[in-house]
Amino acid sequence: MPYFNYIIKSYLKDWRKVALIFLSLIIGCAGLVSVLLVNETANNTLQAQQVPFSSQVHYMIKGESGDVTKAQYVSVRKAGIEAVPTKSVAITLPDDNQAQLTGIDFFAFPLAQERKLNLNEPSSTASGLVVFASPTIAEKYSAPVLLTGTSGAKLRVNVLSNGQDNLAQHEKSEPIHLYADINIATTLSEATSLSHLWLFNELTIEQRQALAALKLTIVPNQIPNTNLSNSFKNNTLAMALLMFIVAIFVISNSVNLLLVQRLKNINIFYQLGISKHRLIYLQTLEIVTLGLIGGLVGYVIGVFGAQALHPFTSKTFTNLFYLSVSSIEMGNFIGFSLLAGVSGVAFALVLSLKMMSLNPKQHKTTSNLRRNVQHSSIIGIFVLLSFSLPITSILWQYVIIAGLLLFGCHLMTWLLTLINRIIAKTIPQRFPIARFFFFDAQRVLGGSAIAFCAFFIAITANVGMNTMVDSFRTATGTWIEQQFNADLYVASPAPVRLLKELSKFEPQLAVYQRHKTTLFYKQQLTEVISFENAAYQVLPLQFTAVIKPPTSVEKIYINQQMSRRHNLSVGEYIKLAGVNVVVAGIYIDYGNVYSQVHWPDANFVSLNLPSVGVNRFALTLNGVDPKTQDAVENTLDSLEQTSYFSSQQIRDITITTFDRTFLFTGGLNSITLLVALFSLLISVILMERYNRAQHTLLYSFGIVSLQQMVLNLAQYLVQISIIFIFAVPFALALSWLLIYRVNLDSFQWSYPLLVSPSQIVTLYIYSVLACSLALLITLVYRNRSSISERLALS
Amino acid sequence: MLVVDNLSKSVHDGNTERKILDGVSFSLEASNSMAIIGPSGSGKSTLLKLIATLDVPDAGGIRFRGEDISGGSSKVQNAYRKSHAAVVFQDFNLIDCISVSDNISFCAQLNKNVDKAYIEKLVETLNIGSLLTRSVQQLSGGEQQRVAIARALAHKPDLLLADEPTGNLDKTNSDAVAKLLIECCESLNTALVLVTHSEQLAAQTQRVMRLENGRLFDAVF
Repeated sequence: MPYFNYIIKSYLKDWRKVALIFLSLIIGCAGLVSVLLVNETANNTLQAQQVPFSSQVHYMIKGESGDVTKAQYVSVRKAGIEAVPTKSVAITLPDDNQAQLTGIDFFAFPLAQERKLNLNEPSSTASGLVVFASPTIAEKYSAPVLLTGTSGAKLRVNVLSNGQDNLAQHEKSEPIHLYADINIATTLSEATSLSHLWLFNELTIEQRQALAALKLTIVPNQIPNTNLSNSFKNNTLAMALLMFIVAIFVISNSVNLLLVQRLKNINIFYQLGISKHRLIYLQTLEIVTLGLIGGLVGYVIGVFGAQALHPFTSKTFTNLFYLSVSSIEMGNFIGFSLLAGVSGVAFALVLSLKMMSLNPKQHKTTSNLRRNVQHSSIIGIFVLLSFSLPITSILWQYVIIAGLLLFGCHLMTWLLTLINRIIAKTIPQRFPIARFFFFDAQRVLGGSAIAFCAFFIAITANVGMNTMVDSFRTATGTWIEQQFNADLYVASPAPVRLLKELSKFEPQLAVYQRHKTTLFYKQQLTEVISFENAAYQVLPLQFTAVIKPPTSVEKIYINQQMSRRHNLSVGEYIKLAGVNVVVAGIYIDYGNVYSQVHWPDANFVSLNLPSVGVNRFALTLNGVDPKTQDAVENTLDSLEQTSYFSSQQIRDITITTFDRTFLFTGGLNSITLLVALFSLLISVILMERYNRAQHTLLYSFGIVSLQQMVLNLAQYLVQISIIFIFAVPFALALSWLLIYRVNLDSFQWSYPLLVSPSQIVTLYIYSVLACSLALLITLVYRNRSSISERLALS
Repeated sequence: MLVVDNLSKSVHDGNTERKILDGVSFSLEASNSMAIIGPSGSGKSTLLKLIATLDVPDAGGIRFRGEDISGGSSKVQNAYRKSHAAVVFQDFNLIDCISVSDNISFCAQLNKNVDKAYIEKLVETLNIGSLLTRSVQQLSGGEQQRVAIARALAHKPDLLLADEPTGNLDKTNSDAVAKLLIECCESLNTALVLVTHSEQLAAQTQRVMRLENGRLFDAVF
């Protein structure tokens, strides 16, 4: 009881200090929760974009009028093409809700078993019929429902969950999507035709020709760009991980600051007969209570913070991936964030209780160099070993990154102490104040080591992520220059008229038709671009390897991504869409998430490749004078529904989209830095308070306050500068890891690492300014009390 | 050299105001020594802090060599503390992040008047030669006391203000330190103001005054 009495009185006496510590705890928790929540939102949204059933479909075969007749389907099967017939029908649900039911021939659906859907279930249920829907819809219609088709036919069915939450279900304007066996769709529809056929495999040349003869069109299935979204998801995951580490350090720092204040009195209580175990129990109870209250308040603030960010998150997703943001499963999130929070507080507690040695002689304010060297050696060996292992798991690579950061923390604390000691000893005795401040820096470091570590991690993360993003941005610019190097890009629904109108500007104006399609090479989506017009399309590519194959063989150029994914090298023969081709060159294709092939233009026609570029053209204006250029643009303007962009406009649009993407991760990055900076500031303020008596002693020796303030400021600026200089190589190592390990292993492409000194310097200036401001406030506040009062603090 | 004129100081104790010093006056010539004795809580240390300009009086003034230091500018006060006055604190107030050696020479270095031979002699007399490379935290109370005295005398101040300088020392050390303090002050022409409980120590100074109920009287043994 006397102990609790003491704690309460100490809180009342030093309420400002306790409030600061508590604020730091809250900010740490709030930062962690908001970043985790945004991360969770991103994950949910990206998971939701997976369309059930059709996500493995390579192509869809459509008839001329849209539908495929039963006779055509029979011919397709006769041609040896394994196609799954589907039939879409509009239906009405009991509550007059309109829905779209896609009937799939489950007997022909090769992936049905793989998806582990119990397709025999209809026969075992009371009604005998079953439809699949997203979990949300399945929950809504848990009892058997009556479906009414366009034919007026009615069927009672059970709605089961397909296990995937289709994003479209979140859109109120979108109809409800149901999936069922084709028999159900046929019963509910009057029409006898099929909607389209699904294909799961690549076609041979003969099969393509057979489809062309049947007047059937092959449409590549628009599989969502999961690579890009995965990249985005990985970025936010990396940010969440970094924030998690920073939050642990921030929380631990807060607890530490409390303990520094307690240690002296804890010893007194020990001497007065309170047992060591009892003291540890009481202290733990205090920390846990504070942690819980601070965590809870931080949690609430974090949730509100993330809600405030929600419109921004939503806008980013809509702009980038054409997705609306999913609602967050708060139940799952609370569990996850609580786990993260509890482990954070527990870790902080372990770190902090280590300080609670009851032997006063062990209360060293300076860090234990020997222990630091041991720890950093162990972590360093782990990181070095990890670098040498060909590990491709993203999660493991993130563990390596975390190891790298912890290694940096240990090394930084050790080096900082060492550097301060060396500087202090190097300064001649005739500069006693400067010597004092550098010796004193070791004490400051000892008390605020954790805050310095959090700051170090945040700086490393910030510089590292920014370097990565900047490099990616430059690489994207290079990619655009490669892919869009014609002067104008035109899309017109009337290509014949367009070509006729533009022919009057020839020969200065060259017009190229841009064929583009997607194929599946070894089950991987691959972009195919025509290179007939080498002048504007192939020549600007930057090749890593190139050969001149025999003219008798068709040549293709592939990008680095395709080369890595399929282990292809130049001179290798492969079969693409049934045609034997040779890889004549491998080019760098930064920023592209797909495998890509440049192929002769003629193949698009001969192989019945469904080009998406039949009405898209590239124009190059070779030596065209401005007047003629205006005339070309006027001609394009005069053509109805014809749009055109200059390569510069395309570049601007792409870079704007890019910047918007990374504005999001940049925002998360800034939260991490702000939380760490805040923690450091609290530490600076409190450490200054703890060291006030010692600094005040200098007043009693006649050292003016301005001189002290300047030296105090210099003391911290030197620490920040050392941390900064030390963080830069770690930040570059982080960028290297993200670009050459995480990115390369995950997406098979990388880009050159570009360092931006100006950005590093800007970040340094911001940190210095923030720290200086905190110090100035503290020092001004310090001067409010009399010297003897300040001296009495010792 | 030092003139304390009608000095008053009160402290707030909850809602009540307690007058610690009530019109204290005295003067001290260069190289003279005086002791202030009195019961605990009589305001001896407060008086010393006022003379050291570490606190501000409510009324009255302090003049050092004719210059008002209690009401003077901070520049004057800083120069006074830096070059002319030195304080031996009751709780030592050593700088704990630097070595004993650095602590001793700190003020001398500040004033740029490091007399190595003199400091060596000081160290020898105070018997702290073996402690020079040690950290302050490793010292006993008595050792810290002697280091604090050495630091205060190392820059040869004009005025030495000592607050219980032998409070943590045994009889032998206490006598030696007291002797050294007085001898040093005499040889350096340093004036000494000594605050102590020990009448024996006080008796070694030229003048002994008793502080009681906020007032200062000449002591009669």
